[in-house]
Amino acid sequence: MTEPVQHPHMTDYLARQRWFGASVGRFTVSAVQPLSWLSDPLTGLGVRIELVTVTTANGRHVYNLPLAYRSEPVDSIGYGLVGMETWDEGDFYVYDAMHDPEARTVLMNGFFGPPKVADMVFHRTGIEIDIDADTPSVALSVDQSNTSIIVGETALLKWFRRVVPGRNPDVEVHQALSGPGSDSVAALFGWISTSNADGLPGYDLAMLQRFLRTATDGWESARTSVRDLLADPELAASEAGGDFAGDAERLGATTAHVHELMADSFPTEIWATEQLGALAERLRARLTAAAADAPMLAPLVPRIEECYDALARLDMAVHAQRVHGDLHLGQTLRTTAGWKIIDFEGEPAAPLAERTMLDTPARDLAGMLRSFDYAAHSVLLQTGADTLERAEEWVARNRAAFLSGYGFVPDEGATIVLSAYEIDKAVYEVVYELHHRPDWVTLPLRALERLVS
Amino acid sequence: MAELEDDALWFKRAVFYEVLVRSFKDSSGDGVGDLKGLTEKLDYLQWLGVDCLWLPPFFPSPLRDGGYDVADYTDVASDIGTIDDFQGVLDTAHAKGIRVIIDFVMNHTSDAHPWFQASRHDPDGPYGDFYVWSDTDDAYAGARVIFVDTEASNWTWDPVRHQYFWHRFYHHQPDLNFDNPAVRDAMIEALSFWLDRGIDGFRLDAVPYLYEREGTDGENLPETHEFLRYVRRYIDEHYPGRVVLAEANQWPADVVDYFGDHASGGDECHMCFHFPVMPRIFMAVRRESRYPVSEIMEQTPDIPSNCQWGIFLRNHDELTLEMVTDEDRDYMWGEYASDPRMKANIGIRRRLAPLLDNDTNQIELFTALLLSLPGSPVLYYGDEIGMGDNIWLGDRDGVRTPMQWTPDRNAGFSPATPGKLSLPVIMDPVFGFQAVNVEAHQTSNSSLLHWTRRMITIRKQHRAFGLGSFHDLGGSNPSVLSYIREHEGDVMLCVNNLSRFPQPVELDLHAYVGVQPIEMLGGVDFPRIGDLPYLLTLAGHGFYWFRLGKRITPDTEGPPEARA
Repeated sequence: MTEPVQHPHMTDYLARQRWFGASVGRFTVSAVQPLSWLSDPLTGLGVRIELVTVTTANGRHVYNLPLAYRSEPVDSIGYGLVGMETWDEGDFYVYDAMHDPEARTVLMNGFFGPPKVADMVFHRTGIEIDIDADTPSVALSVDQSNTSIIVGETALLKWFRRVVPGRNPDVEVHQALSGPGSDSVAALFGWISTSNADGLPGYDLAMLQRFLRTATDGWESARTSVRDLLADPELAASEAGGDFAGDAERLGATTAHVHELMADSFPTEIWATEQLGALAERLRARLTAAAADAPMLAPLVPRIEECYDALARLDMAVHAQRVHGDLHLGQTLRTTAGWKIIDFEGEPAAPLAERTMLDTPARDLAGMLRSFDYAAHSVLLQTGADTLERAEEWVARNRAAFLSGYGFVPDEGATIVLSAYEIDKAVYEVVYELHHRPDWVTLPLRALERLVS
Repeated sequence: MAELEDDALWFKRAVFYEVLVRSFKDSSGDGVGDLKGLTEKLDYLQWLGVDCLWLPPFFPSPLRDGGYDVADYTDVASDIGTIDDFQGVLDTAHAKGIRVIIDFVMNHTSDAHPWFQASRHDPDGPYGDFYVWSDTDDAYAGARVIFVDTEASNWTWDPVRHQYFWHRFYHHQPDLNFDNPAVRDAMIEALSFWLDRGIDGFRLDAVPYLYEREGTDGENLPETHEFLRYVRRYIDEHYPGRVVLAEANQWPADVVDYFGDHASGGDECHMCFHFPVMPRIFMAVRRESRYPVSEIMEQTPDIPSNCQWGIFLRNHDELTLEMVTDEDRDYMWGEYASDPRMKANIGIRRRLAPLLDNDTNQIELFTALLLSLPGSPVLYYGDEIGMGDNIWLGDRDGVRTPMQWTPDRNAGFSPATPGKLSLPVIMDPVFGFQAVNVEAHQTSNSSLLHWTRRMITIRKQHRAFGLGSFHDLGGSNPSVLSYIREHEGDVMLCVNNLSRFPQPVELDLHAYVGVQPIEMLGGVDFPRIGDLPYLLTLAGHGFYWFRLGKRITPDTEGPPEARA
């Protein structure tokens, strides 16, 4: 069937989705590019992927919509209804296929058996998988920027919503890192991409990996430990039953392992004074932009610039490589077999070239250290407690444990690099909090005070 | 009158109860608990719901190691009764549907045992080769000294025979020489003696150490396993339905060998204790984290189909980190023992209630875990009423004080003058027998005793607990340990808040969409499981046991008259 796609109600549907980056009235759907049917709508259930170009004031973005065309409505998945399509062949109820169990099975089917369409490739890695074409799936409700479904008990299909041409870094890194001997990331079973045959730019559409069923994210575990400490005013952090330092240390070791694997699998560089100077320039530019947005940064700017100057003056060689790029406690999973690092997409808002740019591993360390700070102080902010010293004690203990587990050597140069990244991250946080949670702006501000003192 | 259930796999569903005869009930008034006293109290144990008693050694003994130093394998210590009294316990218990297993120490005897006396005096006589003798003390140097606090070597010089003898434990407990066929025959003979009386099985003490071989650590040797298989074949052939429970204080991956062959369902021991579970439960609650338990469950290998773990919270022994393997100890020290309070808690010579600050919520949570994790639970006498301990008594006697039956003299344990009691009753203001006793607990419907009895009843109504698979659900909250036990359509969901704070948890129950959870203590219906993660909230140290019943649709909901 080659009917033109109308989707009169699609803008409403998109605007309701958490993974969609614009609100009603601020965007238009400028193009819809359907891929081949994975099942024919005349069977009663048509399934295909449509690449939807959305134009906003900030530019054009392509969204990846798997759609189910049904000749009869399905009440139980009403929340996934995108709209009606009226074609010569009849009327179709169009659902988001991620919310349609049968349509999900059609999508998963692509991983099994011979290729069914020419414009999509269902890649499989060599890693064994214990699901088959008929294994039922459920949607996970926790995603922010993507949509994930659990297939059986052991596989997770992560559907990338906003796509750009080229390799998705999450797929790229998992493909390189997951394999025998690497248990620091979830095993990659396969991925779905568009085929370049007819001149389309290649997109990675989805990724199939091991579902870590018993895992809880590091953010929750860390905050459990903080709450335990704050409830016992008499105990030192090292004596508290919920002490997190052992976990923080192992998380450091896991991070080091992941960095090692990334250095082995991707290009590396040595950064000398010149590149460090360029890095300092980039940080300075971000500071200038942030200070214009957040006036409360002004008194700190001179001292921050001193730190960046120290970075630019460093006379040493620093190792640069692919990094996680957005590492924080929420990107870690505590499983019964140790820590795993997840979600290698980098900062989702940044352009692809920036997300795969080489950087020093200190950037990831800084991200995690800032996350420890947030874990401790967020509990205070939420409960209204004023036991700042206790929170600081927790942060200091777990920072030290994480860095020690990582094998971080705190010589002067490495410390200057690390704190420059921490400062940069905290500056970003000030701007973010100012716009989203003004009550919380004291959290990164206080950290900045500490970092530049 | 109850009857013993005709089921060769009874031990997989049984609730065990360890009772120290000397501390349970004194019928003779001499200040020492005895077998007749135990017989008097079997009604109570039946009421509580106990399926099987475990009696630690009651044989004649110099009592230098709590009776584990046996001086005669086929008699009863005179202070606690006679063989006829033992038969009385056994027959009465059986009539009440309660089985009985006894401790049996194969590895060594007391040095007061006639075999050892004959062996040291007459090296060429029939018992000359019953023990492991050597002219030097340098053989088997690879075997570690287990009781490092009191023993310098595994060899001790005997001034009578002018040779060294081998002992893996105390120097007054010489190891038997299992390379001697006469020793093996003597063991079988002793086992048969008790099996012929009608006992339902043995707990075999210290099984990993039966044989010695140069160049090994003398633990878990192939010869030891071969002998256990031989014992098992003998019992299966002559005494079907009786069980062998091994005390192999090893890491589960090593312990699993004591179950024997997987394909045949197990051809060595029917049961083994799972030692790491207990400290992990304490750690998990202390750390408010499910990982100590989740990890040990994940690392526990599958066991043959006709076998079962035995699990416990406390028993007559102390349990320390020294008593697990190096590998596990390194892990546990690294992970947990940086905390001095934890260390103090894990070197446990204490009873459950004082360990948990007498906090009813924690005692109930621990008991709920004991009764719902995989394995047959072993209760320790007195813990069902929250008895305390007496840390001023020497060695391990602090947790062996008399059972507290009533608020009357000697806690109703004995009519003797208080000074005659072999161990004093607990008299402190919190745990003393005036407050903590069976009679008081039976009178109060909200007591720990009634609660424990109710939980045992629920456990016994659901085969999933004894026979079911174990599926850790993970979940959004690291302080909440949730798992599914499932056996042939009997599905129990257990949710445990290991934190002292109230907690929410979202559980992925997508395999049970449409199912109605029923809370087991009260029978209350909880909301039907839908497509979204299942949200529960728990009080501090709270827990739920749910039965996941039939899948329901709107048509089948509600009473018949409410339906169209």
